[in-house]
Amino acid sequence: MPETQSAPSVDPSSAKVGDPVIELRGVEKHYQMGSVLVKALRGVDLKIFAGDYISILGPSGCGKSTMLNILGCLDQPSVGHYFLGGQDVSHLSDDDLSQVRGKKLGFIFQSYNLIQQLSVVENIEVPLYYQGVSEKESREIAVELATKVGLGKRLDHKPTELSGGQQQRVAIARALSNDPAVIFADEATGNLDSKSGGDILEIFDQLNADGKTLVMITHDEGMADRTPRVIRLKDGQIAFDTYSETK
Amino acid sequence: MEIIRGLSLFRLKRSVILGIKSLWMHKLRSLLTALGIVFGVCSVIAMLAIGEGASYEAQQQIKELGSQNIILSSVKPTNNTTAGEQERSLILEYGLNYKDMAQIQATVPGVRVVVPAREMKDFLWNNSQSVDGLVLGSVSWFPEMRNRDMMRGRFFTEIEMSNRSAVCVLTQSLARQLFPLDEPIGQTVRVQTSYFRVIGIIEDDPAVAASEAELEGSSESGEGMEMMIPITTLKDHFGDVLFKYRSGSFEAEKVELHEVTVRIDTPERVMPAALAIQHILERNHKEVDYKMTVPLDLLRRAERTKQIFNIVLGSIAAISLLVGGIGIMNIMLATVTERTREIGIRRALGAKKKDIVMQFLIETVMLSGAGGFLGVVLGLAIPILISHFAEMKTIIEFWAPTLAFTISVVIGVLFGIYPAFRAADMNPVEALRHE
Repeated sequence: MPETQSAPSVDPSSAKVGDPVIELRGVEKHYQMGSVLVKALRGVDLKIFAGDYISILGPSGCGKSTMLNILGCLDQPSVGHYFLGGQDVSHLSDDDLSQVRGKKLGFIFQSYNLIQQLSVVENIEVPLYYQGVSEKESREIAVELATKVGLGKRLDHKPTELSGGQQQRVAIARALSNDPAVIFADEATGNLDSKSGGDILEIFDQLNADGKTLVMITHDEGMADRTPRVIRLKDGQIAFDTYSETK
Repeated sequence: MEIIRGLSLFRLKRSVILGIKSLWMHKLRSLLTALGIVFGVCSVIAMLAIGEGASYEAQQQIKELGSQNIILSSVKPTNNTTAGEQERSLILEYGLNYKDMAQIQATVPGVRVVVPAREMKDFLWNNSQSVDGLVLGSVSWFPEMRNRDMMRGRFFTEIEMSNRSAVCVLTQSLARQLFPLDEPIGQTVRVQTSYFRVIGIIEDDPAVAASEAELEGSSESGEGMEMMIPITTLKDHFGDVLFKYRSGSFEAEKVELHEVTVRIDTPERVMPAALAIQHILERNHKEVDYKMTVPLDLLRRAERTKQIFNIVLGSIAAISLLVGGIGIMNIMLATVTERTREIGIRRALGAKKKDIVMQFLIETVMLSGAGGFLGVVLGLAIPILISHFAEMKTIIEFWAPTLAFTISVVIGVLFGIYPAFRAADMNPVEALRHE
């Protein structure tokens, strides 16, 4: 096993200085399923610092998706607090949550989730549009990012005209367009062959090397070898949170 | 302030472009959805144009009679009980007389002019050529009273009336029949043993002209074949008793006046005056041997008919537009379900609820607006085609297409609100998971 520090009690953030970008304090998430109360998360404490490169692993049903939804401000915790960049977002209104998502977070999904009727550039522009960035400025940013992920020559293509790997690169460019504090990738390589998947992961490595904070949610054990910090979830709790500086 | 406005304009533009793209992705579906509105709007405009045209023609004919006039005419009584008495005397006496006229002029308030007229059916001769026509004894101000224009020459004057001159004015169609080749003015027309000099041509009675146009060329009926002479001259030459040759036997009639046109000074006094005249005539005549026509009354009735017509039309239009709106709502609900994932993506990328509402609302309004626009184009084209090919008068009032288009946009908003809010109220997490 690559884990050099396996004790969950070790605080991986001790290696970092400054305030965390994300901090969860005693977060719980409950769902009412018929007459049964399901506790998808049961008391999660977590700190994520700027420049972190994290894999969140766990078997299905361990609470990974719930974790992502809460971290991504798509859902709110039933109990506990979530601080994003120092701001408590656990009880924000729907509009404010939208604002937070659009301004501070980036998403990359397993099935790319591009908007079919829009071209490559227009897809990259979507978060900027909701931030009210001017047409000219957002076009400049989108073209620059598309070029950066290697799609400079396919700006006006529709998602259906692109391969899976290319679509995922558009999604990466879109996640970068609003210069977010944290990027979440949900099984980003799950639908790709190993070659394209490898390319995508290389882009992630590069982004982290450039200082981006990345959180990957996956069930792929191989990812654990790739990221310095690995969080393992089990039954709605963090079972392991290991940090390896050697990677 | 300036920034916010610029921003929202920019957003509106983007939303419109996005709407076009989304609608364009399903061209056939969008077209079929908009079709309900297209036909609704189109039928409203076309039906209104045809209705306006028809009622305009009817009203125009009534106005030709003069809206401040009350027209009285003598009618041969059909009463059976009096027919027995009448048979004993050889001369059938009925109708309006000079006494009625004098009383009306003296007692009814607001009466300005009274135009008496007598008519006599007879053969009108130009040398050996004859036409079965009507000799109309009238007064010099007849054309002005009845809104009839002179085509050529002039009408007879008051001097010619008091001189009992033997002059006549022919209607257009009579002139054409009697003098197909020659210039009629200056020629003479013979009736029985009297000769009359033609001094002018007057246009045909518009009511007669209209009915003739429908029958196309059946002008042999003798309608509209009118020769006008001073009423004084008529009395001089032919007397009060008119002989008619009918079904093998002569029939004598004594009618002092066939028609009396009363002009009232203001339109408001027309209806009370009509009532007063009705009273006078009822007192003077034992039986109903007269008929009263009030053009203003006819006009009001025509207007009421038009109002009812408009209400019926409006209801049909409202129903068809409602059906169109429901069709649009139905498709938009399907679209929202189909695009659940897109909604989830947009929400994840920072779209607020109101952004989603606006997106779908704009899309619905564009769909119904485009339908409305197409409907206006078709609705303007159909009346033009109808006037061109069916030779029916159609009138497109400016407000009709404007109103129809506005309604189609309003329908887009009304029927778009529910689907738009349904889209916005989706849980982002579930929307993202939607397959």
